[in-house]
Amino acid sequence: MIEVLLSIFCLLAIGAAITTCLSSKIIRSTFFFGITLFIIAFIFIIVGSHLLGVIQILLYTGGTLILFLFSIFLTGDWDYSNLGETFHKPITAILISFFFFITTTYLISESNTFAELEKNFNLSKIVSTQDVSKSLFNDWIFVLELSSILLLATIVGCLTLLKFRKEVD
Amino acid sequence: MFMLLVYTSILISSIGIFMLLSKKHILSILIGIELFLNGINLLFITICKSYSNDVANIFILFILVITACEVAIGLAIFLLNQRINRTIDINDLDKLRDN
Repeated sequence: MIEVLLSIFCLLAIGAAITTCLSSKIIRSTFFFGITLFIIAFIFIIVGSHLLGVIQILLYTGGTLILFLFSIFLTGDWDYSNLGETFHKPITAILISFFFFITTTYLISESNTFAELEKNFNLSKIVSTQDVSKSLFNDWIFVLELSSILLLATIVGCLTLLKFRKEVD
Repeated sequence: MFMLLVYTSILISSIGIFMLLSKKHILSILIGIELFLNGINLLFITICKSYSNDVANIFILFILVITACEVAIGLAIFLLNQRINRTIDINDLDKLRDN
């Protein structure tokens, strides 16, 4: 049952990602991007990482996606009439992304490490929130503090970029 | 099932790379970066299922933090570019140097 559900969600995630890429308007692109994020969050929950799934929904859908939407609303008049016209060297981009896909899949399919990982793959293993938080606040406390400083620097950076500049007419 | 998740994550990352390289709209480029990082997150969580420890979960949490910071700064630059240069084209970002 879980395998079928995961397969469906994987196909949906790929479909939503492709639609995000090919949408003709930025608002549609953002909408399908949100759907992709939701589906990936559901995949996280299905494979047993409940905490990450919830954080993905809260942080992306509640935070990042709203930021995107506000940016679109604030610059609504400045949207291209058709995003299809905004492709910049699409053939090169297709070749590079295709090369990335082929190379990575080849390396993974030939790798002994990934064959070993596939044998040990266990969907029933659930990562508890307690274990993650224990690990976070004991073994990774230094990196946690660094990330909080990074967030603070981001706030200062955004304020410096936007708040203290005069609008040019 | 392991390989399905791995290939899904790589495909989503490839779509992200395509968006990152092919679009002129700054928001589309940011969405491309997000898609790429989400694919990597999915790969991390898939690999994590084969190990007994939870390091991948911690890594993903930090990737999410970095992604949120990157999006905030990226959108600030996008709004600044729109406010000063009156454009949303990535090719006009270099004009911000003059202001």
